[in-house]
Amino acid sequence: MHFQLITLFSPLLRPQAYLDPGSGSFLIQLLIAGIVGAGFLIKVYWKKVKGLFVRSESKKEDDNDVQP
Amino acid sequence: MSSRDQRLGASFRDPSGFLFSREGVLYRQVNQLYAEHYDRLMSSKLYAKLVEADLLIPHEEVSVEPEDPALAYKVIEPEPLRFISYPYEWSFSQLQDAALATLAIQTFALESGMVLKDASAYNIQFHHGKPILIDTLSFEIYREGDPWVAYRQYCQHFLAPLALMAHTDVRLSQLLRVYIDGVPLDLAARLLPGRTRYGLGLGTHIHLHAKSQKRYADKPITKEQSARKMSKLQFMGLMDSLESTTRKLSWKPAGTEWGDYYTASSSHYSGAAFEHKKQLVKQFLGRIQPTTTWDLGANTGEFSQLAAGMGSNTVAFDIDPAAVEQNYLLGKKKKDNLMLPLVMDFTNPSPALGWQNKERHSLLERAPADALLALALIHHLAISNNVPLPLLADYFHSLGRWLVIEWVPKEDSQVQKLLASRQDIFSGYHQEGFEAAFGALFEIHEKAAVQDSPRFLYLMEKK
Repeated sequence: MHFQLITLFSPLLRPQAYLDPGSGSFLIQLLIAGIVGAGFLIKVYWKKVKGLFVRSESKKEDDNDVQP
Repeated sequence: MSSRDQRLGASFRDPSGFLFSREGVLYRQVNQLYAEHYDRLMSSKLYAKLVEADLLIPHEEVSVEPEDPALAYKVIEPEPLRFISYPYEWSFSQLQDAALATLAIQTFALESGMVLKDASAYNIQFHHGKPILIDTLSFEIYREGDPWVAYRQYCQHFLAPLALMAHTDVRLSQLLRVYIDGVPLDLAARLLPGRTRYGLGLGTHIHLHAKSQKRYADKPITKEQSARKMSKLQFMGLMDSLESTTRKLSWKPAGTEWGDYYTASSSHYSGAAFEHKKQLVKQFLGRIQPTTTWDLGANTGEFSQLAAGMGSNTVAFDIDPAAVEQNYLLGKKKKDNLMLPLVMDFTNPSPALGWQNKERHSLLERAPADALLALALIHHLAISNNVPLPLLADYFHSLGRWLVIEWVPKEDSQVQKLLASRQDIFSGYHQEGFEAAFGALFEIHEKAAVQDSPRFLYLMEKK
């Protein structure tokens, strides 16, 4: 119970997390994730947009294939 | 606990469970503490997906008596591995593929609401030619907001050594042999070229990371800091950044000091001699049909392939990371699932390492192999490293049952090269001395001269 209460407050303390994430590593990770998170969102949407075009192009090719 | 039971020396850090062997069978006890996570792994289909993708070792739940019943939730029996290898024995692409497999597993896990709670390179093994996670208890239920607890470990076990191999020197993989929990990031940052500071990937995950570790080394973090959250999107962004940073790293054997040596690896043989040697090795292997073969000094694996081609599980050792890299990439292309190329210096083979020297096994502890190939090797050990022939025979005797060995006499051009710059103190290095030394410990079944060459091939069996 004591453990459960602590885990509600801090991601650093969890019974099954046996690794020490290291305070320096923990904090820099948050900073880096903050920066790359936004870039990742753009990347995912860009892929989706690109995917639309690629799909329609390949569809065209498929259509061509079935034409006599 | 009977005297035949044994808890494995490397399995003590994680309270989720541990490995034990009983009557030669390896089991993993899953502890009560981990029950919720184990159940999620199995019920969320994450286990099935990972096994299907050859990314996680398959296991079966078994009804054997737990090793520590007071803590036990279940006992599982993982599929046995053919050979355990370690990251300091891998070539660049092997370590990179192991790193990318770890991140691919993480992506699968996130889709199922789970996450890796460790990212140890020792949790990855090459199984049927592919990197696979062997620790079934590496997952935990993902809680939105939490950062990745294994971020530091991933950077130390994978990213730092790969960056050093790619940007500084491929031999720096050997730092993993010294630092059991991966390369310290401040050391990696010092050894990497200055230009790596400015890239977004290594600049942040290694250089900034190292600085942050130094800054907070003696400072406890505040309550506010420890309560900071990371959104799932940010988490995925971090994984994506680690993936692209890892994938971008490259190392090519061509153009190194080893250069083109391997494109002409058999140049000191005439074509006829090389073909005859191949024929003899094939004939000897065909006679003994080994289930496991260790090729000691395999170069790019030309002869190891003969063993693997016959269905023998083959480990192809070589001292040169360039040769091992070529062998690995070729095997990967050909989907050769019986071949495992590894970096090994037989003048100083992998020792037992870690806590109580029991976490990582020495090469000798991983012996014996059914058959050993020692081709074009003896002169390197006996002359370059001054090992007397009886000691060589004794070492090979401890490594395997059958021995296919090539005798390279003093008049051979390769031995002459080794003797060119030094005093010949090897009065005992002659064929009679060789036969006497090895004959004391092995029965010599075959002896054949290699055509168009002063060399001989022997087939011997441990007495």
